[in-house]
Amino acid sequence: MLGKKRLNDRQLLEAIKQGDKDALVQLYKDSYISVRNYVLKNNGTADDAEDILQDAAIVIWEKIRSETLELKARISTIMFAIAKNLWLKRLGKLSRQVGIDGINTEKMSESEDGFHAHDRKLVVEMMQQLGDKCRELLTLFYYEGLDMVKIAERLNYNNADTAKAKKHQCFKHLQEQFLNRYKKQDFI
Amino acid sequence: MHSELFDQYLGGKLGTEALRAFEQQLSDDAAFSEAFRIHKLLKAGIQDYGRESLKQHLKENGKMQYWGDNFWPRSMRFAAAAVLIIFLGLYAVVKLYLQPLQKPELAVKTESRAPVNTGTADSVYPPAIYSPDAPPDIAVVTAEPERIESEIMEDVVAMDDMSPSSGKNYGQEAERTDDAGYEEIKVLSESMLSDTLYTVPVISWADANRSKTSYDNLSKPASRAETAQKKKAMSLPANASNANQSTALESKDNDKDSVGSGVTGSKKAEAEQSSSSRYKIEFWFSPVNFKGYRLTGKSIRLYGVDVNEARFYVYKAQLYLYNEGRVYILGPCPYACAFTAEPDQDVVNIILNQTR
Repeated sequence: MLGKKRLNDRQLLEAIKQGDKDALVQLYKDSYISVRNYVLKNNGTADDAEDILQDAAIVIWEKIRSETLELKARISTIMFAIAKNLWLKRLGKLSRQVGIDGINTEKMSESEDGFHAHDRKLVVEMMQQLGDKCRELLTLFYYEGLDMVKIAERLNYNNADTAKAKKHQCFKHLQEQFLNRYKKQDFI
Repeated sequence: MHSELFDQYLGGKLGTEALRAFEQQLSDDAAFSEAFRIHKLLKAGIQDYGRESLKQHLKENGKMQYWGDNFWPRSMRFAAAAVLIIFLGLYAVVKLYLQPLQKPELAVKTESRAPVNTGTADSVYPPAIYSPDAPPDIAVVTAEPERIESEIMEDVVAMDDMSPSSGKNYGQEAERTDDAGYEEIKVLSESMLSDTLYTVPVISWADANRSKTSYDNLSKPASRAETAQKKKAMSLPANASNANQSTALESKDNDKDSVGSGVTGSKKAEAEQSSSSRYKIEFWFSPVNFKGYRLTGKSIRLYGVDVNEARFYVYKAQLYLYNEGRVYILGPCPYACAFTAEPDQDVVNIILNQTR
């Protein structure tokens, strides 16, 4: 961020709402030291700290994007609180996992939405095999929550209908790939 | 196939009727339900991918450099800057104002600046000059040190400031002329060993006459008894001797009875001589083994001379130094001069006699 103007909390919020990832990077850096110190003091490593901070940044990102975050405190304070909760949650999970004869039961269980973590990882792999355009389009629609008009502007499609047709095409392609892979694995 | 419908349902965009129909189909149609489950899974997978890519972006762009702008909190950066400024300031103060105090000392100062006045001759520095064996008629002035210092400093003020604490003359190069002709001597680095305000004894006319008659026997050392006998034989009348001493002791008051009946016509001159024979004497170390002096006004600086081996005398308004058995004449010398031996053997003998 050297050479870039630092954003205050209000500007950060607005920038993240607009999808500015560099604003999230500034927030990430601002919270780095405090979160790192907390995790290191609570049986974690520097890698754990970075991982937790990234997760916390994603939570903040999604909350701001979905406009469910109320800025009642400094945004870095909120970030730290989220990171702290995430770390405590992870510590709890780790202690439970180790508790049953060292068997990692977490991977065997279903996630909150009823899917196996393995299946979701498979979808992520499938996504990585898609073309750049499809990947970006699907991410903008399903993760960023942009409507077709904005997607068409961002990806230089003629109009929203074109973007919609393209999105349908990409999703179908992903679904086919996934089902093929899924069936093969079932067969094996 | 139904992805548009699924998206609308998941996005809460279905109307009441459509929603009821959708939920009815979900419960009745297993294939529809399975397709919806797959759709949700794909959507969750895409969102995971979105999170992963965002994480990757943070990893790549959020790396903390040790000296980066975000590694240190702003307060820490201000504190570090403040500490740095303080240290720079202290360094500048030490460099600019206290540097003379940090000069490497070539020798340790051995004596205090002001002599201690206990009211006796021995209290005046250096003590070797005021040994108990000194003739009683040698003028010794034991005025208050503060007064002497103030008087001397009046003379010294007119000169260049040569004190080592000023730091002006450290490492200076000086020239001098010696007996062999003009020669350059470099006093590369000096260090003052001691200094004192010192009243140089004035050899009276009577002392000189007495000394002259006794030098025939100088070649063989006389015993204490013989010396005492000689002194008794050649000394002035007791009242004259005492008067002479008291004159010296009170010379600043211009006492008229200084010499006594044996010495005529010189009382006033000697009194003036006594009052003007106070010197500020500094003993300095010379790293190049230079032995010499500088004399400006009433300030004498000696190089390479042992403080215990130096004795000063004034004879006929001329300053002499006795050092290691030799008598040197000290003339005005603003720079560093080598010692010049007194050529007049009579004068040498007079001085030597005073040192016995």
